[in-house]
Amino acid sequence: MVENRPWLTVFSHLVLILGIGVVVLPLWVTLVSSTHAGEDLLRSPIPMWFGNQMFENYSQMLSSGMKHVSGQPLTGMMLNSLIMALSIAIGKIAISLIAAFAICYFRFPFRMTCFWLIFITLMLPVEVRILPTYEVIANVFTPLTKLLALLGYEGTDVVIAGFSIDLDVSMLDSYAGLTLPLIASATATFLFRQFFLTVPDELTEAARIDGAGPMKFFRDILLPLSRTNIAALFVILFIFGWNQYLWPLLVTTDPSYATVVMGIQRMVNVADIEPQWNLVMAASMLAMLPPVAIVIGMQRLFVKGLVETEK
Amino acid sequence: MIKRVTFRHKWLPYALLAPQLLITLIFFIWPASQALYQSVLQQDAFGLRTAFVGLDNFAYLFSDPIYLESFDVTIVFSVAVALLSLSFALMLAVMADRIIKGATTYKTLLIWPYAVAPAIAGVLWYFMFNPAVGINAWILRTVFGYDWNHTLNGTDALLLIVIAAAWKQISYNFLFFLAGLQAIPRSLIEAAAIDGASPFKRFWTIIFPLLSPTTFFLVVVNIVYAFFDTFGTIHATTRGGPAGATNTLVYKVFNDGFIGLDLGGSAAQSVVLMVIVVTLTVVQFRYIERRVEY
Amino acid sequence: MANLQISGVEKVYPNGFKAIHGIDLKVEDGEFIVLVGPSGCGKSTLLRMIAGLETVTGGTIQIGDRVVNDLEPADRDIAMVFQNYALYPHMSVYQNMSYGLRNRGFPKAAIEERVQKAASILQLDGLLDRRPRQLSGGQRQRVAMGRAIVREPAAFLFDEPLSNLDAKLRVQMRVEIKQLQRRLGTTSVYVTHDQIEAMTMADRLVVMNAGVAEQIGTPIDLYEKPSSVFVGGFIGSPAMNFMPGQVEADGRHLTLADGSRLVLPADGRTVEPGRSVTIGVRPEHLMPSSDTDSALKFEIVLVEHLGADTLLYGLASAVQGAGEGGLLTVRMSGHHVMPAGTVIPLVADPSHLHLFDVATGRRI
Repeated sequence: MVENRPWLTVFSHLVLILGIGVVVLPLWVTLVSSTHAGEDLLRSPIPMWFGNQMFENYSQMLSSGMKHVSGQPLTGMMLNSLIMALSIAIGKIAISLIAAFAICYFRFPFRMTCFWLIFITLMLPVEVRILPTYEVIANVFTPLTKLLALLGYEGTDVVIAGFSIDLDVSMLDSYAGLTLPLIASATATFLFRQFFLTVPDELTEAARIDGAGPMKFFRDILLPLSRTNIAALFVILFIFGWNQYLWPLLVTTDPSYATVVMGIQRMVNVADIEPQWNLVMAASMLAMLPPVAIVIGMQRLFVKGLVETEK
Repeated sequence: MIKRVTFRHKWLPYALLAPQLLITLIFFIWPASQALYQSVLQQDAFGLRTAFVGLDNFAYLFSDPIYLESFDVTIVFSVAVALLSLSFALMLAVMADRIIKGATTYKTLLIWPYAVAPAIAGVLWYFMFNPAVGINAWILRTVFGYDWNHTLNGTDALLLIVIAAAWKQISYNFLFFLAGLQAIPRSLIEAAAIDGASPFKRFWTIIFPLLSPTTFFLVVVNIVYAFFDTFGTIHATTRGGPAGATNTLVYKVFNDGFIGLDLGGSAAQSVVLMVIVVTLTVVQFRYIERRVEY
Repeated sequence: MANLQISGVEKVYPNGFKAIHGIDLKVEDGEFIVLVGPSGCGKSTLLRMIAGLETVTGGTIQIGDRVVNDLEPADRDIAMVFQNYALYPHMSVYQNMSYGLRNRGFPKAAIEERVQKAASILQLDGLLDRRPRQLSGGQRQRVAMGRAIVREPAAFLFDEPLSNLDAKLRVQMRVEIKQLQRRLGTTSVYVTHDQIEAMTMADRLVVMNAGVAEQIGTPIDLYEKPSSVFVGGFIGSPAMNFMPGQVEADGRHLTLADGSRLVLPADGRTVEPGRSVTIGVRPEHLMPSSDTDSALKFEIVLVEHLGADTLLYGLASAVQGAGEGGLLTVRMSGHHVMPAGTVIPLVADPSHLHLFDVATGRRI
């Protein structure tokens, strides 16, 4: 520090410790509460130290769930969350990588149109197009059938070369419906574009002289060079995917497709009775665990991802 | 915009762009255009006929006291979230920037709430403020004599979601503030110290003005966050209540569309939200462009 | 092994800028050609057109007996060494050197043999498993060379390969590259802006200026008979001195701006009396004279002692016309002590006077 003022350093530590106390308090309360029996949490003040029901609470949530609210075990919900988070993260990275590659490394008609189409998705978060997106998920071919209707063709079947194609495919209650609409990401595409622009042109030229075509160059040179960026983005996107709430709420009615983050509200919003807080808190701990573990375990990648996606 | 060295290929670039464009067109552009289209239509009571009504839906919207109240709630909510989270994070970042020992540990302990889902964050604070058993409600009652009840008191409910939403955003703000502080040249602060400025004075006359680009950027990000990413926080806890006290615009568009099934009205609300996102995005990009010039 | 023929090659960019104005050059098999010129003269563009990294908008480029204008770089049977080496950072030295062979479907054993051979030539044996970032600048340079060698191409193309090295290493690598090229006998085209590098390495030089080949020839040709003011000024260090002059009525002397006189070379050339010319004379061809009447007046401003040579920088009114003198450089062999301010009379070696047309700058 600039000058030596011991009391200032002590003060800094004090403020930080107090601040961390405020930030960590909810976690502490949650953790402690999840180790108690339900009746311990029915009278105020609730205990602030661990109880002895930890194993019972967690094993009940993982194996059978909460009896009076659909009773889905959390194992299944967490698996759904995992599938959703992984599909979104991997899917976004994959399609953004190739899209950014096309935009940066090729000249072709309508290049800028494509760029702006992708750019525009930045301005259309799911929250502002809830209903019409839901309609598309209810029937993926909605845009096509509506366009056909404009051209005077009614109905949801199209006959091409003798084959009748059913244009009524619902993605409700499916992993595709959960993930596909969230998979297009302008942010990831821009991040990769930004990174590709910093890759020296000479590498591309050397690869061309070495006989590598575009896809070979992409696989052998560009992809390995993007490793750190991919990993950093994966951390951010995994958290983004795991924490989705509104979208799973809309497209899943079948409890077997519920994700854990969205499933917890059913345990909290129970009519007329006090929620079983010990179990809700155990479920919350389980729902927080994977993304928090990733942030703490991959702190450097996480910070890099966070900073770069905002450029 | 493009590399100096490019490949030549007739169809490959289109094939590479196809997945992203297809998803963008089907799940982004089409729904958005539908929202625009439906916002100028109105269905009759039985959903049998639709008629073009021009801007009637919007006119109705902005004369609807419930919608206007929702607008107010959203603005109060966003400003409160941004203010609370930013000031808390700035204070911690300034302190963390001062110390050398234990900085990494502090950082680790401060960044994890970023990973907590907004809905879960809501549930945690909902429990802590639970009027019957919540530890915070108990402290308020026994120490301050305040009877906290977010199920009946609108202000309490709004405060609850403000705290839950701001808490989750502290990590993000802290990281960006810390990075901003560490980017300020040491020599400037040393020069100020030699000029006789006290640490407190240095902060307000040197550090804070130099940090203003970061602050401005974070203000926009926090407002976008409070507008659009807090649906889960509200839906998992107060559900817009009591009496609309936490009925933000995004919560309302969901509620009217899905529960109320008012197609035209919901579409008009979507369009209003789109205008807000576009404005905020443009502001943010203007700012980024300016930052590049520095 | 092949020769390389460039005929009437032009480059016009889509925005209308003409970078290359029609260049003809025939490179013999095994020859080392250096393209040299100031930045922006088009030398790199020409090299990249030979490599296939820039399109050719006019003329033809022929490698061996094939016109390669429309061939992909990979199909031209050339290898290139880049200015910043362009080593793949995520690949080991071995992978970097073998990548081109692997892409061409060479059998493993053949790749192994070629890489090992190149590595031993370049003294990279112990470094094959390293990544580029673990290598020194000189080692990276060698790997870039190795990547070119293993391909056993018809021609090597070098794009300022030494400009990222420090001065000492540059001299060393210069020698290594030249020796290696001699040993392999591979036709090479080498681009540099450094005229010393150009002079020392080239079998023949192409001096380029504003998209035109000003002169093509051996280093000594260019040094002794520069075809233009540009070439004269560009080749040689310190640079050639230029001053205005007029041929006297007898056709055998020149009068300079300060009234002093120089003797014209008696090599049978006739220059019409009364013609105004630009006179070029290299620093080592100016020497102190005892004839103070007709000699050029030179006032020393600065003396540089290089050990073997002494460089004198001074003012001479002959250079920029009467009154205000221009700068002139004189090189004397050996060590001389001369205080600044000393005025000495200079004469030029008549056999090394270069005369150029005032308007066109071409050699007379």
